[in-house]
Amino acid sequence: MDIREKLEIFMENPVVAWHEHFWSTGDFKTLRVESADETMRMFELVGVDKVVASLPVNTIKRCEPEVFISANNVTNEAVKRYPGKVYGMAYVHPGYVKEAVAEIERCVLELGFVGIKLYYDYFMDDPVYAPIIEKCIELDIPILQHSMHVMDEPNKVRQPLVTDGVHMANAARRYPEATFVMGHFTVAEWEYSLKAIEDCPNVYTDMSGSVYDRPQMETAVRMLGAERILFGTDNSPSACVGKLLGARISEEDKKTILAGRAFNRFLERAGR
Amino acid sequence: MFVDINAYVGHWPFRKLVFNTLSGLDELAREYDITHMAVANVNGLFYKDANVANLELLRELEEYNGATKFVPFAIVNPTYPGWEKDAREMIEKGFCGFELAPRYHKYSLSPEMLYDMYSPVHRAGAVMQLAEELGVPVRICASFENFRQRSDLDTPDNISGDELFALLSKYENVTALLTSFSLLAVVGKLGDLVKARKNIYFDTTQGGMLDRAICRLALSRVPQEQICFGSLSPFNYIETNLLRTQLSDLDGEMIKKNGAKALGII
Repeated sequence: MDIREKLEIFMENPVVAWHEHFWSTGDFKTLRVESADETMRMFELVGVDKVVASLPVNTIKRCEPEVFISANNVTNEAVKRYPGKVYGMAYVHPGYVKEAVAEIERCVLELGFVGIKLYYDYFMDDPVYAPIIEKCIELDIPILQHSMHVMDEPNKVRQPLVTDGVHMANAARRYPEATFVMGHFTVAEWEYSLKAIEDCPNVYTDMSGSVYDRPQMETAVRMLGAERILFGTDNSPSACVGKLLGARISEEDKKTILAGRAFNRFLERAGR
Repeated sequence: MFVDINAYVGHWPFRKLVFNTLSGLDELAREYDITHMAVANVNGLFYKDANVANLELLRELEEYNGATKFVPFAIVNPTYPGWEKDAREMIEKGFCGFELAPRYHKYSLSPEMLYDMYSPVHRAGAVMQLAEELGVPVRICASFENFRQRSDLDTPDNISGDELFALLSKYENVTALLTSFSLLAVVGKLGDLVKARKNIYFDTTQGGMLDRAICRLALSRVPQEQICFGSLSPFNYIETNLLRTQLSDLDGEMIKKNGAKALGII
């Protein structure tokens, strides 16, 4: 069989990529248009219909409000450049509680963003997140958290506050009415991450990331069910499309993941 | 002919593998008309005597009757007594090449590095000399799991470009299959050696080749004739590498066949 035949499931069904990024210039002020166009070309090549993107600020220093506001404006540039195809998620640094809450309101109510993206500024179960989570509950939007249970020393040093499945589960139990997404379960110690959130129905996950270990997808579907898994690539389309095509799971489960059925309402609301 | 130069049987101590037998690999390969797979027994990384794993693979080959043709590589541990005799015997028994696992057997590819400073011989070099004498290729896999997920009991380091350069520049007549190396990071350190040597091959397991800029950069460092299809099965999903081969700007038909030249089976 030619792999292009297998790719038909992407071409013939709705596909939403829930964990994507469009990059900016180094000052987080301007969309890198050429890179964004190439990203969209790749999505078209593999049959992705809708792209949910954010621009988290990758720094171990505190991200000032004007920087995360600027980063969200860059994401909004991408939303406007590819209308009907790209949806925004707001990145905020929760240490600036007042500004972060205001920025979430601006992004959701004025720009039509569909959720928020959090980085490795604090563990997800840190109390600093309380006002952020409560605002997301009020607005009924999902919280996508950059997550991984890292085993290597360089990442433990570089991302000392990176959230893993246990932090996600703690936050989810404290806020059962919130909708959490544990980002890229496939990266780092993925069996640990899955096991930690298995019994938390309000924690979803996405399958993005450059690691494509067999049998990640089969394990995730068995533990969480396809309804709790979202498709995404985190800028690694070949790894992610490949792991979905290669997974020994049912076609129906693949379609459920690709469509992100449980999250359709967030996109539908943004489209109105 | 469609050749995968990067496959294994055996068990991984840190997580359960599936399709990790010759029959399992055959099932994966047949779905996409892969005709040949270069295979080694990953148990050889962990057994004190690596050759026991080679003998396991030999037995499995004798019992195997599937469609995919397997090209077996013997894992050689040059720090273990009798390695040279064992390695010669495995070639006599039909194995087609050697595989080095310096991070697991605790030696270096470069004679200048710590592990080998007090060794009277350059151990990786001794295997290369034997490979040259017997006219067989040597395979080196950069890593089996992403560095972010490795168990504390696994090796934390990947093989560096500097080490590779030290080895490859000295043994220019030996065909080298460098699997799961980053075509951008590691190959950059090998500089012009790759272009000057037509017998150094890489595979597709690392790299976002669907991105045209990345693909262009990789091809500026590695001639397309030296990139082979490789899947690191059964650790990885094979489909990712099929997409990289067939949907990117690479010449997919050439990539599928390059392994035959690398393995010396044409």
